[in-house]
Amino acid sequence: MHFELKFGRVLLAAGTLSMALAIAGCASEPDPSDEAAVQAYNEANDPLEPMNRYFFEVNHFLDEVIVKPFAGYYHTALPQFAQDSVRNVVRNLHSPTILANDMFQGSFDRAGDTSSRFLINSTLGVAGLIDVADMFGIKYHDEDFGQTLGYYGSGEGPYLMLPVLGPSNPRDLAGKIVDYALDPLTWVGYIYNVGWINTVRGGLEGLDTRARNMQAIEELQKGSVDFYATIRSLYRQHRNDAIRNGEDPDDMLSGITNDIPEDGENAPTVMLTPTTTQGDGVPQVSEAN
Amino acid sequence: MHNRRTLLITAATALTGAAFLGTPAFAAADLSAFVNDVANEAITSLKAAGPTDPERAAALKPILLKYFDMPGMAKHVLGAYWKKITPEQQEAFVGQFTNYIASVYGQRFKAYKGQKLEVKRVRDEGARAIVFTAVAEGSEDAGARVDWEISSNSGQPLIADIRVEGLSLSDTHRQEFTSVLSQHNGDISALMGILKNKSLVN
Repeated sequence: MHFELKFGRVLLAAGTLSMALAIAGCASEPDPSDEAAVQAYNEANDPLEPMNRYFFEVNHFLDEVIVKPFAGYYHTALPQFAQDSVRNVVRNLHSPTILANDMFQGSFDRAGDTSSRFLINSTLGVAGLIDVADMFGIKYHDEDFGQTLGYYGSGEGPYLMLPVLGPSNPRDLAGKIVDYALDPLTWVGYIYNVGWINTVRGGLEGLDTRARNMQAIEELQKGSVDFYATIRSLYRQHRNDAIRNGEDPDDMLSGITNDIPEDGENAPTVMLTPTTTQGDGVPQVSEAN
Repeated sequence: MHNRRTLLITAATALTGAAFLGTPAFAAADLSAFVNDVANEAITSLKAAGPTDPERAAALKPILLKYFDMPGMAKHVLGAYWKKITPEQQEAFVGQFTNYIASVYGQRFKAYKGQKLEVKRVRDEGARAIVFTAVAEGSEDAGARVDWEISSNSGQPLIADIRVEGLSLSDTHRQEFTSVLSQHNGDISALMGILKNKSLVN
């Protein structure tokens, strides 16, 4: 019964998808002689743009009628510490997948952070309600299999706007599926027949994120001349930044930085980066010695 | 052993780095002071401005004109469409773009809660430099990463881009502007009209 239901849902989703594809079709490629249009088309990397825009509208509608009002209630009705607790619990439940991806990327410092955080917050933090580890100075970081693929050089592929789930691309979509399989909560859901746990976590996570960014999203939309293109650009930049763990791109290539001279001398000292983030996803050359 | 190797690498990088980078146009300390000055001046004038959005936009505009490479940014955000428009259209676009930026980002300063800017490091590569800063609310707060890209092409430092948590202002606007232009067959007047509607200053 359980599986039949799931299968039905998948069929429904596939049906909607193929229908939308049929309606929207692929983006018409620009006239090859129009170099500006060709450049814009290539930079957008969005061959499914009509379909993506369709789902963007659908998601936007769902946001307006369901998510945004709920997020509004959540934001006004719950005190800040309660909202923080929701976020802490959700983050704590993600620890196993974050840990796995830290390990996949060979960043054992960050894997250590993730496991310490999980142990401390699950015990002292009362099942993850309080982020005690953060008070100890062990900061939260995010990691997922889409980032792991990116870390090993996998390209993102064309932009995708998924129904309900939002912006993505083939790399990150594959990552989501792997993370779903890696997540102990998925298996707890299957084995004990409590699949709703995953849905509730996903729902709370979405709600909390939406509520926290209420004003930012509103301002972004107000100022934007093409909100769809803005979100597309921001999603891509954000994912690239996440794959680099916030490091500067050139920094990873050259490892060169200038220290700020203290007495205003003209020649800056150039030296190999002794940054605080050594071992955080930056491949080390001479670590074994 | 490890130390000696590190030392060697450092020395080698210093030598080759110095050879390739050439002489920076400005000392790193000057650049961080420059960013601090810009941020302080922006905060001071936005605080002094009235509470309405047009007033904030009007307060931000002189700062953009003084410290930002607006023609360079305008050129970047149009991509290859920049070359397809006449010099008169280019000039008009730079003006309209400045008004739009002042309007959009003036509004966002409503959320200013006394955050402090701290320069983390400076990377100077001659014509281009990046000042990495953290903007934090208090000592507890790790702060948002804000990177200031500075161009020295005109002989004085001007801000060419701002990246907040890895999100570039110029790149984001480039995506939306070129998207609008390609939808309008490259008609710049369509984009100008939309920007005018979003602008609160002239």
